[in-house]
Amino acid sequence: MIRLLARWLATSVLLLFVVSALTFVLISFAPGDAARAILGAKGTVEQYEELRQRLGLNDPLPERYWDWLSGVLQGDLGASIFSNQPVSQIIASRIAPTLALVVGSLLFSALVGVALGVASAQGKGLLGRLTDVVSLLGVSIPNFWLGLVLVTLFAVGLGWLPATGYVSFAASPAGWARSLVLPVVTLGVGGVAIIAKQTRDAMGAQLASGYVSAMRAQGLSERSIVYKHALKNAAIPVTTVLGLMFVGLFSGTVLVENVFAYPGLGGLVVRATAQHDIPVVEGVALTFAIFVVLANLAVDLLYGWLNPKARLR
Amino acid sequence: MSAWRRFLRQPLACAAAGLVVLIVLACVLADLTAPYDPIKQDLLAANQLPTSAHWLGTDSLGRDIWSRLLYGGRVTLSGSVLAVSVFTALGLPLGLIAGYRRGAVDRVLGRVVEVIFATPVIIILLVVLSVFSANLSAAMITLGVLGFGSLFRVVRASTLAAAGELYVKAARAAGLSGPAVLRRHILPNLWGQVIVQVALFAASAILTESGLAFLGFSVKPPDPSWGSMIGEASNVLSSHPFQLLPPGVLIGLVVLSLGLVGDGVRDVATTRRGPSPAVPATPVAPAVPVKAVAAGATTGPGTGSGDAAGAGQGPVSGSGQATAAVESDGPPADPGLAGALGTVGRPARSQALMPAEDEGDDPAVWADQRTAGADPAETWLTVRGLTVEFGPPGRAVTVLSGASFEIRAGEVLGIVGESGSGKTVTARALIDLLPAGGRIAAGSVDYRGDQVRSMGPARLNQLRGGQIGYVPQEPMTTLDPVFTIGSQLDEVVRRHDRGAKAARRARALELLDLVRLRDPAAILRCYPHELSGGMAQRVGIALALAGRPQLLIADEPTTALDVTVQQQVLDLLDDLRVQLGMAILLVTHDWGVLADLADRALVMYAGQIVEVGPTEAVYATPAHPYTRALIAANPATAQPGQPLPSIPGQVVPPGSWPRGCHFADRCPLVGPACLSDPVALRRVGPGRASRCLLTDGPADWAGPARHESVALEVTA
Amino acid sequence: MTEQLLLRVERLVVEYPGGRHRAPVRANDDVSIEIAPGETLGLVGESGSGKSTLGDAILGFAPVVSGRIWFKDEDIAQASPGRRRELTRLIQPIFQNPFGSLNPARTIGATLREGLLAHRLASPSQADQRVAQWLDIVGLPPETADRYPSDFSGGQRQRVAIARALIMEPELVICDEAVSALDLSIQAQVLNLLSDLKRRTGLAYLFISHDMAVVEHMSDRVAVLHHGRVVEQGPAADIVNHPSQPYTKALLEAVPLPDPVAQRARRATRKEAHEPTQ
Repeated sequence: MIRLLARWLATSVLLLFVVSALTFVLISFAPGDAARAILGAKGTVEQYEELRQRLGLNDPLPERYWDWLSGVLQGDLGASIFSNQPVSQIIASRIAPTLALVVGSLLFSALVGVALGVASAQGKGLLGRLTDVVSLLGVSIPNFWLGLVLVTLFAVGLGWLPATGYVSFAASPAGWARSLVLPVVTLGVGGVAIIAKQTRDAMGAQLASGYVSAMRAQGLSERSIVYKHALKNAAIPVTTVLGLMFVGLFSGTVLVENVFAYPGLGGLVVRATAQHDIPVVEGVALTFAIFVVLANLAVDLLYGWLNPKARLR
Repeated sequence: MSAWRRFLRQPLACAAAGLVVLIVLACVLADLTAPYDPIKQDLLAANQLPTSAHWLGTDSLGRDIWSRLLYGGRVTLSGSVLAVSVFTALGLPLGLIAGYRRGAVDRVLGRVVEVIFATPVIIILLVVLSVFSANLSAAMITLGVLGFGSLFRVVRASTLAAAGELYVKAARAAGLSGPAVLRRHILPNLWGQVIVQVALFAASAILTESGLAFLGFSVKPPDPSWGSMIGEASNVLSSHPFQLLPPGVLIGLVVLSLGLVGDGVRDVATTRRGPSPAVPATPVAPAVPVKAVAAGATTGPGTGSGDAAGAGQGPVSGSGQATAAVESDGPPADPGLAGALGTVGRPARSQALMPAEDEGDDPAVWADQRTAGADPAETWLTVRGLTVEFGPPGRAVTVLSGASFEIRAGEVLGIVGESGSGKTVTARALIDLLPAGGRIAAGSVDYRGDQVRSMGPARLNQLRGGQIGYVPQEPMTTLDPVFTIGSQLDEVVRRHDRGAKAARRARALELLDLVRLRDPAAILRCYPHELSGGMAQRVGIALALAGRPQLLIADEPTTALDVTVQQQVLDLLDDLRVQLGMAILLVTHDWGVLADLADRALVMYAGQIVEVGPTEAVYATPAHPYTRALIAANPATAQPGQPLPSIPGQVVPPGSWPRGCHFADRCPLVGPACLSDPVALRRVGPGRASRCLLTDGPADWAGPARHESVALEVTA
Repeated sequence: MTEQLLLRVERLVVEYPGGRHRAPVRANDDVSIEIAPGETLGLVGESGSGKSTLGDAILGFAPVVSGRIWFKDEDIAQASPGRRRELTRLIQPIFQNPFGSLNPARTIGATLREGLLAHRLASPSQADQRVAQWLDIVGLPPETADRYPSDFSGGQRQRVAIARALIMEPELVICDEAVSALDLSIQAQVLNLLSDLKRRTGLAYLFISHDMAVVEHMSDRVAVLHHGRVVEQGPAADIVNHPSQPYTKALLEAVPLPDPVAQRARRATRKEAHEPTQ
């Protein structure tokens, strides 16, 4: 357990450093810079130089990164170049919708994917076919396009659900749920496909394994064999996939939030990137990376719980 | 057959590959294929649905959507090609190096990939795009760099696996240099996996590129790309939803096709080369095409008449499943074939009874049984004409043909045979637990008056584990790896004894004690991988005993164990049958194990019972030529320094059985009569029977074994 | 003395390195054996006894920590990779698993030619001739060369593996459980083939097996391995009939005889002996 945590910690620190440094370095190479972006075409050379100085853009790169990093370590992510608002505040105001979206999609993919996979592994003909189709289409359709199609059908066409936006849970639980449905389905469909296929393959392998036939020979019920034993074994490889998918879901929010004009971090980072708002981009990148790191820990723990052999090491 | 031809046999994958090629060509040649200039506006014809002039309609500026798709594809596809090139250029060589060299290089690269996998790719891409002011090439190169990990991992794992193959070791032992081994033995195993990964990554690159373009990070406005066309369509979504369809469907189609191509290649790459459809190279035993033979009736109780137990099959197409199963490694696993007959002798092995077999078994065999003074109440299991098939109906292959035998109270009946004889199938058919694809085609299994074949699932589950316990072959793989022994034992105990938790625990401890495991309480807390093979097999026996069965089926219970451990497990089984008054059906390929434990022996060959009788008699005076030859071929009994009297040729696989005697092509005594008709099991002494026309019993066997090895004949 | 021997292993120690959280495994501990030209040395032991490791060490596949492996007059324990490749002409293996030891993607002919060409023992056309000749010797038809391993049964593949080893005309062949995966009737054929080839060519075998009966049948002398050490060695008949070490005795007695009467008597004796402790 301690070894697992130590290993996780080492990897995590490395990852956070790599992500933040890489982002930082890349952004500072940008030909257009924040001062130019703020001033627009009207600013004079003097104004421009003065602004650069004020923003610290003339300092050497390592120094700027170090300034930023030491700030971060003290909990200060800096302020947006544009609004002057503290980055931590901006992120805090937008984190809930993104988390709701990502966690919702993860649950949606896991539940629907596992259910489809288990059912089709047991050789139900029609369901097997359905799983085939879902797992092929789910990863083939661009999710932002699917989002637009869903909006067209269910919001514009049928008017059942809101086309855009996000309602906070505190304001209206029902509205919150309704505002989440389309984004969650849009973001989660790819995951459903991947998980369904993985589960089916893993379950198929488990159901053909020696212990399953031994349990049948002991007269254990098919329900216990399939849902208790085979499923727990099959969950081991599926868990690994779940971990990788989590990273993908965060990336996915960038597109999906754009489609639904959803007030989360994904939309924020797209705009900030276009404006060269370094502190904001850095802040969001770091936030994403932290969530990924936490998700990795969750996956490792889950993996260890499922697989006694992994626990030993 | 070449891998290429096997790929071509998959219509879906081929169609998908064709479609991808077609779309790529159409986009590359857009100057020729596109009917309009992609940026020429015609506001009078804006927002049209498909017409004969505009096949896919026009957008809000009146531009031809079809033409824009073709030109836009150039952007999307060339970007993906760039990403895929970087992906392959990094993933393939680095994966090879890590897998082949291992060590520090492998560890460092593995770490790097681990970090990259956890990086939110799209954010890095967005940053790159802003840095290089919407330069798509830079973004696509970055995508390739961030994505190479998946190819790296697959190539590394395949290289590692291939490098561990015995044939690679053999190639090195033949004096091949490292690069030669890599080129000839490792790389050829990788191409399939590489193509799969490349196809999947190309698909994801197209999706990513489209996504970026949708966000506006691709080509500048008037120029089209697939993703930006979706973005344009989204602006008129409520008024002209149709415009969403063409670019979305096209992207979906291309990505889908790449996925299908990947699946197709994967199938080709992972299915090992099956037997080529050409003539089997078997130098012996040409497959005798047999017309369906109306096999003699299965012997019903008393007289036989009844179902045709399909003995002969038509020429059966490649006995895929059955042979594949037979080709397992290690000592004879015997998944395959055929039938059994057995009788039952009591432990005292005085007079045993003969069962009858299909194919018109000698009535004398039955008469012998009826007059043998058998007490029917003591017969626990009666099998008649049991026939098992594998494969889809119509193309099914018979692997067990008309087995009839009984098992009586307290006896140990040993079924002995080589791979593919049908011994394991026989054992598993008794509790209707055949491997996937197998089914009982004919015959009956009667457990103390109950027909196993007509039992519902509930009754069958009660029989399994309750009246009949089953000890499987591989102790390690027959325990669920993720639950403790205690949990697994408790689950089985709970099925039979509805006691309180404490009582169930006591029973579990009692069972472990019964199989002579020291410190049962500690064992309960163990996971299977913490046990040795011998301990795991004892746990397997404990699980089988949980329901207090009257009959224990032990399927090669010691094959996976070392001899000293084997001895302990055999002693345990011997003790248990006395202590618990159980009968045991012992399946084995080892004549030593058979001699050790069995009261009666039932010898199987190519799906049939060929001999049955009291163990001592079968060893002392084997009646069937096969039994005789096999005992002689055992190095344990052979003369040191002399060639072993081996049996020429090899077992006829299921699906190729001849109409007549299954052993005919290897038998030194074979005569014309052996080939023409199915041979019945005939009585050859008290409690003994043999499936041979030419021997009337042990007395016929005076001469020395007359078999010479094929090798000696050839080399002489 | 040394000149007479083909192979002399002296105080060999083989250790597989551990990982960061794994202790190293000492697979051979102070092992010494000898093989004369034309002799068969049987090596028996249970799983984990180190018998396959010894074969691997002689072939150069196992990490030798200390000790010497004299092949004729040369210590090959730490031979360079280049010298190892040359030695492969003289020392050849036959492995247990006939399904894994042939590359499924290459024809039998390609597999058999490989060693000849690597050592430049033959031109491509001569190699084809030699392949045909050896297929004949091991009892396979000439068209076998153009087929893939999947077309053949276990016994036939093992004949191919034998041809691959012997086509190089080696002086020592390491048979590592070479017949263990085969059925009894096929095993007898292959054993006869191996004996016959030895008679004809005068090569020597290191015959590794867990099967006492097979080893006894094939070997001039036998060495018994237990936990990486040689517990006993000597002429085959002596070891089998008059084992001097308790472990050898236990091993021999644990092998069930294919004779019900003798086997029952044995069990009775054994149970009597164990009665007090049970």
